[in-house]
Amino acid sequence: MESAGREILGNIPASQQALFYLLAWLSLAVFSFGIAMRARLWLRGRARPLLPGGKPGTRLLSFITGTLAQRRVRATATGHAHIAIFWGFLVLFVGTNLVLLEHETPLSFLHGLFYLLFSLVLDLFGLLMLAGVWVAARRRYHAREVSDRVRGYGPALTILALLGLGGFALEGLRMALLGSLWFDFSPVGAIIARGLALLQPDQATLGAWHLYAWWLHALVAFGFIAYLPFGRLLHAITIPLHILVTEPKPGGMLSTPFLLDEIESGDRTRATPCVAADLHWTQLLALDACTECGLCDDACPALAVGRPLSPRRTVVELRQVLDQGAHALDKSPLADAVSPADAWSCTTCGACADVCPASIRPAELLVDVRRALVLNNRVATGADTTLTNLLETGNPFGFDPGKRMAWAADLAADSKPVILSTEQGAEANCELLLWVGCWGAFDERSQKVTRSLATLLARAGVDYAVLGTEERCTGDPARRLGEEGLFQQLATANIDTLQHHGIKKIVSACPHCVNSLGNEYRDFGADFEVLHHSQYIDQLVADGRLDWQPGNVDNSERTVTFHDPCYLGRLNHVYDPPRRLLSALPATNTTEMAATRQTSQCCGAGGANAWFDIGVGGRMNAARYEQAAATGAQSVATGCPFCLAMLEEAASATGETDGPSVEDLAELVEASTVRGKNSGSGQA
Amino acid sequence: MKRILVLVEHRDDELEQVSFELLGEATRLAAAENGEVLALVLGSGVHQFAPELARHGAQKTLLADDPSLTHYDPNIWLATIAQLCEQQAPDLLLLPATSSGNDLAARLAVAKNWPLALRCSRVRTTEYGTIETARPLYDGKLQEWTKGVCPGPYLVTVAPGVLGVRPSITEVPVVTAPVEVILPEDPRVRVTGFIPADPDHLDLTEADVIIAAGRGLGGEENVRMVKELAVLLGGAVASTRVVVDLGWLGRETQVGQTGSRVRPRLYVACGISGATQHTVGMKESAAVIAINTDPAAPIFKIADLALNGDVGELLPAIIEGCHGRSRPP
Repeated sequence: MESAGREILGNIPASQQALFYLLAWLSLAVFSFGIAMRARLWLRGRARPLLPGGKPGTRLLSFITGTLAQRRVRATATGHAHIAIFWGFLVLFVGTNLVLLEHETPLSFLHGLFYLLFSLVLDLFGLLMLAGVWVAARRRYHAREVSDRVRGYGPALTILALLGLGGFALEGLRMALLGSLWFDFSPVGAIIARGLALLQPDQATLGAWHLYAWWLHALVAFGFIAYLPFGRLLHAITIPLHILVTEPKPGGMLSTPFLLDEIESGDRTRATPCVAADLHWTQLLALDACTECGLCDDACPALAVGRPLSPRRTVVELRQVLDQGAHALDKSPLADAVSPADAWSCTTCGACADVCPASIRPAELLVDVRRALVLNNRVATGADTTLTNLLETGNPFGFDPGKRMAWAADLAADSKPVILSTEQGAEANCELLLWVGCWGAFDERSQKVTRSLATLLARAGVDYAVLGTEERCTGDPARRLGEEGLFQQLATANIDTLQHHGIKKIVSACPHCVNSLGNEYRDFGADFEVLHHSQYIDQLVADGRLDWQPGNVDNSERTVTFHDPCYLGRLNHVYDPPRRLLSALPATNTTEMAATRQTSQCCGAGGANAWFDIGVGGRMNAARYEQAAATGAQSVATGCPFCLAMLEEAASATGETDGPSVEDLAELVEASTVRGKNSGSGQA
Repeated sequence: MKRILVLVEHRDDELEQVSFELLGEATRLAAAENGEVLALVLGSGVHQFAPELARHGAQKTLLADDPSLTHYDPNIWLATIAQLCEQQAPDLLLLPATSSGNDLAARLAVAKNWPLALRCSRVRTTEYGTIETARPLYDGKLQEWTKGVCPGPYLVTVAPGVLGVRPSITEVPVVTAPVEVILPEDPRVRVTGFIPADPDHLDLTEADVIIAAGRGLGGEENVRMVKELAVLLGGAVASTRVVVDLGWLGRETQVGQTGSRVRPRLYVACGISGATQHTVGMKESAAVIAINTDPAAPIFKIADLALNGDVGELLPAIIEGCHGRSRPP
């Protein structure tokens, strides 16, 4: 019995085979040229370090989940169509290369059982791809409002459809011509072959048809290869590449475009970014990775309330600079590439980056635009005062820095913290540093949270200290306002103070402080263990240093819902400790908002938006408070002074008095715990 | 200083406080050398001011009374004062550092080639017969002293509200003298009148008096009282962010962290609890009056006068009290 197998380049005259190879090389040359032209633009960006840090293992994992597993592609009809096209095409691509290997190398494997399996798999995945193309094409035709906003996918789908259909036609013709015994392992080809048989063509006609179809398929394939770098399908190259070269860093950690030290020491002559070429090359690559799918826009809470921001538009506008070529990258000001209203509207909540299938971080690009705006002295209206305050008083509000300990005035005598002082010089041997933060130190409302936290620490017998008047803003607002130099000034001053006191472990009730101290300060040589107070209190409870006190609550049960602060949840992945604490509260039920954990919606104050108002669009805090109220909870708990202030303001602005109250976790836990049996003897 | 000429500013048939401040300062400077303080009033129907100016130290009041002087007109004022100075030969001219005072001082300085110090907070004389002036820099964080090196006459404008008004003297002789008004032949500018600012649209950051509405007003209908008080005191209406969110007032009225930052001479907080987000925008106000039902409201910590009560009851009483003694906006 004849073994299953396949004759490659049968029925193709030798002279035409030569032409085939010539065209193959030509299409590859055009492809390489196109990619090289694009890569030349990407590499105009900052290339030091060429590959940002991160473990290769993590990077590989995000590569696999991001591409092969299509993890970020949404489970909608369109998403499934994409997965079908992706996997269909990938298998056909691998299959075609196997044929190439079989033909061009001494390797031989396309025969017998493997060949039969190969035929079957390729046929099925070819069908899968065509089905995906069909769904996508229908959507483009029917949902015009969607397809009109993103142009250029028509040619891509057409070329894929031609590839698939042409491939099947060719397969059918080949099978009809050769009369293979193994028809059933290429079901689509078999059906076409049988259909052709009904026409009863003679062998010569079949041969001619096959040759035509073969050439047609070859030309479409070469056209596809040559077209790839110039059209929408470029993302098939750029997205995997971008995921592979992007640093898998915490979402709240912004890039460090320059080091103040380098500028001060004269190693570097200018602060950046001024032009698009000052962006890191991976950011320029990211622009080419965008498919304009719009998931970011769907996730953007600023856009949802009518602010003039669209993460998708931001990326597209920046790509227009890239499209204008090297000169534009080097010369045209970054500050003019995106409208300032867009740049200032962003709260850096990270919802866009979290859903982006291409791992693009629009918020980081917008902060780079802000940096460029600030270099041109175009700060958001009102935010200039914040920057002056930070410079002069070390806090964004402009309060007297000498009054940083005002929060502790009303504190019970046995809960007063140790205050470290550089003048006294002694190294602190405390277990923990409580980083109070500017809200916790100066804001009347947040001072209560700080007192609750301090009381809890004392109750658990934690040996802790505070920096007192030596603490200053971590620089989070400065960095997010684009004033990188001021941020670095504050950061290095704080690092010096902390290191002087020998601090190893820090707890803070402000996720923005936690993010700066724990993540962003790493770029400046810091290595502190920084915990959010929810994490630390959770540990104290787990260690038996705090015990729940069931008696102290009246009989009525209350329901609490938790609002995930962006800088705690989505950007730093702390979801469970606050929930564990809330569900352990006596006489308390917990409930979740519809948008929770990773999909939690920003209160509107992030990205330094607490200090200026762009004056357009609705209030994000009102939208979020409404979602909390919709759960029917009597209380909405959070773990961030920004969220606390914003949600409380929203509660007040509803004009009603029966909406949920707003509290910090520490306040709730403080009211329901007593000293645990394992509590330390450090203080109190 | 032998002869000090003070330019008196008045508005709507009333003398501005700064005029008394300048007369007090002039009296102090003149006393050391037994000098003379002259008050100069330009306007229409200004004779009535003479006794009050005399009580504040004007030994002689020079009156330029003419319908053409109703409003500040740089051409006429410059020509008139320039000629007056030829006759009176003052050593020092003190002017209020208001928009018209600064404008006039600068014009005189150019016309007469006299040294000029603008927006001063202090003036003192030296043993050489020259003067030294101080003015605040960087929002008052620094003071800059300037020394005069030649003999006068000097032109100095002084910021209103800095020197303070000295107590007036009760029994003084009132001496007046007319001033010849010079009308320039070919004026390049003609002043036709003034348009009063609409309190609803007064720029908050420039308002001297601000009446701010908080949620404690209880309802949108009570915002009317805030506006009424603002009109009575010639001030502007401000709000907290919550009031804006409630739709009671527009976004442009918002004071605070994400709104305007103001430092008026008087800030009346009506039903405002004093959250940090609001107080950072107004804590620099010279005087704060707060009305709130909650005695523990944080606003009371920064208030100069704390009225613990319901705005709905207190505001009508305050408005009632302001009626009759107010000046039109």
